[in-house]
Amino acid sequence: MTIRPMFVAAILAGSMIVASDPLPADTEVRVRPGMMGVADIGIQNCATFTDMHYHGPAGMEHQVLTWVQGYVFAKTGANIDALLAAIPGDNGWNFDTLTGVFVDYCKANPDVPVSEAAVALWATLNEGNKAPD
Amino acid sequence: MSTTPTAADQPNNAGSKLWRAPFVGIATLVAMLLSIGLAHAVMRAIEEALGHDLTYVAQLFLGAGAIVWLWYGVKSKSENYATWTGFFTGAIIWMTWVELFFMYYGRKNFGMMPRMDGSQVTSEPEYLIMTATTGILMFMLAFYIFDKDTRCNMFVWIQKALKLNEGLGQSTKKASDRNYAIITFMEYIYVTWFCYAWNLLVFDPTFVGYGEDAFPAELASVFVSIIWGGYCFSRLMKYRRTSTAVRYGIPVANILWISVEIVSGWGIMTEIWLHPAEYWPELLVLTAAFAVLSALIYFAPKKQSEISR
Repeated sequence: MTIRPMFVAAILAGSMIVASDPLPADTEVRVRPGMMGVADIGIQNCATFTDMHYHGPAGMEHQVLTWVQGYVFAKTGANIDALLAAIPGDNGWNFDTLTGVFVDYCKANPDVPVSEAAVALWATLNEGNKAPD
Repeated sequence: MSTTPTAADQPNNAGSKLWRAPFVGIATLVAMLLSIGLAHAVMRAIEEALGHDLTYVAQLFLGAGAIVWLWYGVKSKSENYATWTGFFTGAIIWMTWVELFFMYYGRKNFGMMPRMDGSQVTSEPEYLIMTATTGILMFMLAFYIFDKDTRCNMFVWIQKALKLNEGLGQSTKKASDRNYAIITFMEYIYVTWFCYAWNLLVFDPTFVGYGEDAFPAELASVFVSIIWGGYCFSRLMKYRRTSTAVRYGIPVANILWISVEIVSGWGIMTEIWLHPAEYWPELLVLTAAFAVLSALIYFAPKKQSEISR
């Protein structure tokens, strides 16, 4: 067997890859092809959040905390730091405990949207509770 | 990376009905294919048993242990031992210092997220980092193409096609000068890296789109993988010298594995090696089969040149 037919086949295959069209326009909001994460964490359900969290825990915690800052600001006109400062003493809230509420809530409620976890966190903070152990 | 065997290079195993062409090549390919699946399973099992944080620490020591083993292989005068040492240590280093290092940086240190297609995770952070190493992979490819001591069949063919033979001159190394432990070690890592990059580019929606848009590229990739891997396998089946066959079997299995990954992505087959806790009996049997087959190949009749330099 000569190598020439294989070479031609490889060129043809390469051409097919190059010629394949990019993604057509979507009607839903999505991140650009190739990017990681999702455009709107709030519309994901908790099962997706939990799966994504397993594969990228630090990144997911960062994204969800950034997202919930907007929610808290819309509710209070202040950021989470201001809200936490109003809870007296060593309340135990930090990056890990705040995001831990999302992680635990979503593990327990895989079918609900992630926004429900934000509501649960808001309820806890608004009641002036300390971080769960 | 291996060269085509010559008559003078054949082992003195005329009395053996098993260790001759095409059985050496077939047994080697089966062992190498099993090794790829089992390497995935071992990684997953370590992750699941230790948890990610402990795995990141453990991988440093596992990798260091592999380098110590490689040191013994490099010192060895046996081509057979050196080849298998290079193979196993290459696999361990790839799983630990490469994949798990990327995993640590992607998932924990950098705080990256997985790539998604709807609600499905399609690429983990470590593979997003790995895709970005394609440029480094390619410049190393240039080194292997332009190095006169490269003996891999494909690179030798490229050198010939590029009419480099005169410019490069004769190799300065004889067979006895070549250290097969480090050659096999680098071959394993480079071939695995190359095939990962190939796969990851075919799975990258930037270039091929999502879902059905990616299908033509995936089909083309499977086609190339089977033709290229099949051609190499047809050559591998002529091998009678087991050390050479192992070195040649590594790229053959990895090229064919491209199709396994893509076909699994289509949902045609279940990648049981990604779920060791669920499929442990099957994986245990496959591990035993790999161990026995590897031992048979390792202890198969050898020519003197394979066991001492």
